[in-house]
Amino acid sequence: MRTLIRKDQLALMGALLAFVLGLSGTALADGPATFEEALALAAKENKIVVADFYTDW
Amino acid sequence: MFARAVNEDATIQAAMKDFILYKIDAEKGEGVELAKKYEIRGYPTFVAINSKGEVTDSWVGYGGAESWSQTALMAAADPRTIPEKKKAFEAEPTAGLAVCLANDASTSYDFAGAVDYYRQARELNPAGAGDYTQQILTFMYYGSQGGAFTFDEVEKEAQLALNTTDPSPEEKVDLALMVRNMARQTGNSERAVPYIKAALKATKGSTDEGVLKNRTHLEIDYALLVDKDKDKALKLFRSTFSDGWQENADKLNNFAWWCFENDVNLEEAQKMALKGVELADSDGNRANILDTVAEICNKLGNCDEAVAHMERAVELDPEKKYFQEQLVRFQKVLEEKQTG
Repeated sequence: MRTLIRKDQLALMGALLAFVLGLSGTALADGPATFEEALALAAKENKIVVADFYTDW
Repeated sequence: MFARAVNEDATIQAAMKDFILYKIDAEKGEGVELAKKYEIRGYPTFVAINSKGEVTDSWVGYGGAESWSQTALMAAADPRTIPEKKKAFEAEPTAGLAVCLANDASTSYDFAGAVDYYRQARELNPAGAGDYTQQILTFMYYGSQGGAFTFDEVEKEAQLALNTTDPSPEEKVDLALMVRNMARQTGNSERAVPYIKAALKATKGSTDEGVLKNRTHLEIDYALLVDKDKDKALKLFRSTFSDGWQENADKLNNFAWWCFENDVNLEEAQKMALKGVELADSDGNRANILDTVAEICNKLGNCDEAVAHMERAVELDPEKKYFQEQLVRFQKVLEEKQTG
């Protein structure tokens, strides 16, 4: 049987061929510390939050 | 790549003035619940969220600084929620809304929905037909893995992409790889040949590392499908492995499985697979590679060996129904050989 696709490869498959993928993993230097803080900041500055969901694997 | 780009790329940093970027490790701390709440299915996924916590946009993947910044800025410029955007699209469809809703649909792996929205975008904005068609094909390809599209449907769109949208050489390679993968999965390998030829012609002389890597995979198919030269294909396939591959169980198995699938170099393939069995890091993986060994033995006519390897695979992974079915299959072949 062909070697089964591992979790990390599945993540790549889930992204689109047209994209060159890169997994995130570095904290922003000066960002909100929690999601609630991010939403509060968004309300204050009248902006949206762009949440980058990533994993380390 | 995205993590580095956030800190270093001027385009992304300029775009970030218009929204608040918040990074969430989906498997740690608050990220676990947030990933559940926003139904995250793959990584990286970007979700645009208003201050009430409602989704206004979402997309999968980082496509380079330019593309990512453009998508994020478009999300920032239209903070309506997804239901509001759907309502607006029904009332007055625009290509921009169609693209936004397509990307959102793809985030939840609704590829049929994504294709439908992109087709509407193509009708609404014919000038962008080339890009939209590439996206349609990509979503069709992923949708086909779950049965949302047939090979015929994907090929029809692929023909459109190849013949009417003037794809770049890199896009021709992506197109060829997609069609070739699907063609192979559905037993239609020969139908990938025009796409492989077009991609190889378009990228001849390229020095781009990524293009060259993909070209090699297409050259392997060309050798098999056009030249009908299995030795040439094997030589090219071998060249795709990096140093030390013979110490890696998965790579040994991949090598052996490719040889099995293409009916070439079976004796060496069997040796490599057996080495993979020794190196495997779990019983499940060991059983998986034993299945490869059994298939090769069966193809070589060594039916008793095939049964013995499959029996061991079932012992190592007794829960896997597929291995039990394989054992029955090989036992039948052996029985037929002995009786007949």
